[in-house]
Amino acid sequence: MAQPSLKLVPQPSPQQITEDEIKAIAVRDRNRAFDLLVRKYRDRIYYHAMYITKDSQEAFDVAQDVFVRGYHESRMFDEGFKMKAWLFRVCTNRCYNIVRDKHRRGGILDRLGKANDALREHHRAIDSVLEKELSREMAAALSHLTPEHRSILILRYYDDLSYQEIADTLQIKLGTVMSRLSRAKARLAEQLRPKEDTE
Amino acid sequence: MNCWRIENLVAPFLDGELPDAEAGAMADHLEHCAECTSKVEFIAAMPDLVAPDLADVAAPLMESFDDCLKERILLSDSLVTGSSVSEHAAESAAWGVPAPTSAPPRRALASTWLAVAALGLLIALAGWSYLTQQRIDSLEQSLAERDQLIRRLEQQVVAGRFDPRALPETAGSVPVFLPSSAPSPQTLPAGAFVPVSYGMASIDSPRIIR
Repeated sequence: MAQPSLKLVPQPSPQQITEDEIKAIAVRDRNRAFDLLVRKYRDRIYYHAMYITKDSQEAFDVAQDVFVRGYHESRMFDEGFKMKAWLFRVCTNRCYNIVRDKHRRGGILDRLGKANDALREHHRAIDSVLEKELSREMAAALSHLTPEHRSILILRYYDDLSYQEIADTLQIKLGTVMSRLSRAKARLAEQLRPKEDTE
Repeated sequence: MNCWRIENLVAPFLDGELPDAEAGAMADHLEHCAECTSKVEFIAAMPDLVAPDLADVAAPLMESFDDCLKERILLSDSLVTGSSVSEHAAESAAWGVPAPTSAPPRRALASTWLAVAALGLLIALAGWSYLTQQRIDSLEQSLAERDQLIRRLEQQVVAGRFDPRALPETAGSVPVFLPSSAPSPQTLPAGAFVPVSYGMASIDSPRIIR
């Protein structure tokens, strides 16, 4: 009798796992599904928060908040629930609240104390990288736009979300995504014009 | 397609996200409208928006992300109210976080326990008073029967007709008070009736001196 052959099947990385697969896992193991959800999106959510807040620690804080809320979101693994759009929406809203409230300091991270000392170096390193990036012409022009235009440009060109995902994230119609993105690009081009003219 | 519409579709047109029919209509318009063509070309000439590359520098920070998140979830669990205790406890435990030691909806639990305790106390009181009444009734009845029996026995003793073997069957279950000056068994003649003990005793097993 032939022995069953043992095949090594490579495990897909969390980034490759689809939302539907995560939902299927959640049926029997919600924690495993949540773990995969965090691994799939945490970097992108953190970067998104970085693009808006331009502060590594704030961004880290926001990304954590987003997933804590995700953990308590009962609909998260429901059929038809758009996890990615939800995460980006919550992250965007939280970031703009922080940007609006410039005086907000001393988040939960600070109160956690000791554990964060080790992270401060990382935060400083990331901030210095972003600082160099922000001094570029394009990033400077972007910062002069309205939050509405800036966020849709970031979602499309930095976060690489599809038009439909942007519509789901911002809870607007697909047509509105197209027109808002068009106007945002036009404003950004105008911001870049004076410098182009002088060259 | 008019110029206003072109302005609103320039981004999906350049991103290749426009349905074929609309993209064709837009191309047709641009062929005939110099103003729109220059606007679209101006936007198309803009350098690409490229995200700052944070992957390498953020990698060490991301390693601590999960641990921090677990702490935050644990912290939030103790603040969350109105959600299932057991659900959060199970989730926390499975996500490597010790289950919260304090149950979140403590107030609700406390009032429930108070109500249960009050009800229990009421039932206990009712039961106790009922049992006490039953006991009093049964004692009163026993006393009445004892008095009756004693009178009958006295009459038998006085008349010299006392015979322990003629004691009624029912007397066996009747508690009897006997005087503390009852004679000791040693002084009694053989065959004399002696109760088991003094005080409130049952005479269901009278000893016969042989």
